[in-house]
Amino acid sequence: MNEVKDDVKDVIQRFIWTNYIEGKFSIPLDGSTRLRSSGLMDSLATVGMISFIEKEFDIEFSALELTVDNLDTIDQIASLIARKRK
Amino acid sequence: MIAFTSATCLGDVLEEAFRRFSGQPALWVKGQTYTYSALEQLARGILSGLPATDIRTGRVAILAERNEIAYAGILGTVLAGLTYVPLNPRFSAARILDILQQVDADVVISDNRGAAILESIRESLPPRLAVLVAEGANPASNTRPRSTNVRPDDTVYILFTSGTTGRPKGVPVSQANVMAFLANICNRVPSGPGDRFLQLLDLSFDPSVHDLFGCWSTGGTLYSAPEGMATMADRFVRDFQITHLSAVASTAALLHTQNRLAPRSLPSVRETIFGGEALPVNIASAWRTAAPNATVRNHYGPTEATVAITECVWRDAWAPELSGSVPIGRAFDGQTIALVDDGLRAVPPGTPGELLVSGSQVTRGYLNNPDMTREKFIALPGAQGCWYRTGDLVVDDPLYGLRYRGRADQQLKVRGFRVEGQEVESHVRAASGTDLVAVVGWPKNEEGLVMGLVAFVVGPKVTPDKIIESCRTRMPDYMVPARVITVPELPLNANGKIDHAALARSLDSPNS
Repeated sequence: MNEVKDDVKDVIQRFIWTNYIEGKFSIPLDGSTRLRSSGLMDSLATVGMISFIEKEFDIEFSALELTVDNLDTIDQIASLIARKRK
Repeated sequence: MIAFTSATCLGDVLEEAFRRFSGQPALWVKGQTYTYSALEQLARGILSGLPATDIRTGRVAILAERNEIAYAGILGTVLAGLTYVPLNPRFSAARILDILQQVDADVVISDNRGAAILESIRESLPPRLAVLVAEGANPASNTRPRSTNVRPDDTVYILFTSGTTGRPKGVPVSQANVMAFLANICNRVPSGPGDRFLQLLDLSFDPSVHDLFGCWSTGGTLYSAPEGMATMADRFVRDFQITHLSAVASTAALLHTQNRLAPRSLPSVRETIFGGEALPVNIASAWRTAAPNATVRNHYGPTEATVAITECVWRDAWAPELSGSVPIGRAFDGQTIALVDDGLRAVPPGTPGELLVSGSQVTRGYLNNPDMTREKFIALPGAQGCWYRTGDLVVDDPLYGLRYRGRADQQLKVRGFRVEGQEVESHVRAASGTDLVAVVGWPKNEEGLVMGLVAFVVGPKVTPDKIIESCRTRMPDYMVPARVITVPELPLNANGKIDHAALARSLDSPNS
């Protein structure tokens, strides 16, 4: 179970790193890095990330799940995905 | 039908509506639904802590995220017949301080996030300013009585124009202005009990005036998209079965780029108002494909003319024949326009001129700024009334109505040729296969003249070289961007519009 979740984390981390961090910010990115509340990602980046996740993992976030508090770190995002895939 | 024409102030209209629709849902925010009566109680309670003796200017600043405190704070201020000044926690502390000083507010209502910002500038706050942290506030039983003497000249709200340079300018908007605007909106955009409005844009940006008061005066429910999630508009529309929304074109363009506007995916939408920036024709088409039951309205209006003063209702049949952006149409009832040259003479038909507006929606000038007021609010030889110079270049097309041609003062002159950035952007969009495009004049020589153009594109379907090559076949040489730079995203300013100035600055920095 944990391995599956780590897989999910890796995929998201790679996507975020390549598209929004690499060459723009010199910071390490891990599961607890704050993405939105720190300003690393803006609302445009968020749509890109959500669109990618929904396609990649074949899920759909509901309007009620779409808050910055729910989606601020890779750990939070992975937990949300895990809950939705159950 | 609410009688905006016979009532004298917005507070009267809302008071009547909140009585009539008391048991119905008025607001959904952060997972909570408030009925009209619950929201009214919260709204009246928030200001009850402010003693009448503390009211000098009658100005109430509101520094909160889009949460129940912000909505109730605005409503309570309007019901009390006072003036609200919406601030945005995403503004810099310096900007917040500047605005608080300029308006000389009696009180600032804030949530915890706003309170933290205020704490950081506590030393510099005006000494007479009361700070009211309303987090977790309960609807109070004792409510503020409404000031009885509200006059048409009294100010409903003061908004600050973002302005790329210089100090933000305050625009006081009167009861008469707001009532004229809402009468025009309610005549054009049908709405009523059971309708669901999506509120995407910041409260410091004037489309929110339409969202809040258009919705609440007619019995609808306002759904507040969570802070920072406005770009996921499609999901909110679908899950909340939204019927009405106002948006900026960039949001729709982004959804289109992300393949989120599938045909017929948003059937609940009946009314969409685009405003705040030019609406590309292909984006209007894409939105209609996703929302086939929606009337798509392109609204134009500076803050100085109360949210929107012209409208064009989009027709699908135009898509093949129109290029560039959707027209801005015709003036609202009771509003007049003029197109003039540098000497304020009417331009010949078919020639672009600066757009001047006059009428009941046009405000009287800037807050504490007589010089700028004299410069922008003028008398026009041979015409009656006060005219506001919008600084926008517009051409009157006999077929489609008014068409926006860019900013009069930002019209680029590239090596002496007049170039409209928007026109170049529409060609680059076509050449690159992406909607997210911004063109800036760069570099500038020692005299400040623009020597060339640089295009920024997000997610192009072809290489930059191919884009330039394709642009060469579409435009004269001086309009072709010298460089095309692929970026992961385009920077937006506080109002969600593309920030061209920031892009130009990024080129000036030595790393680019």
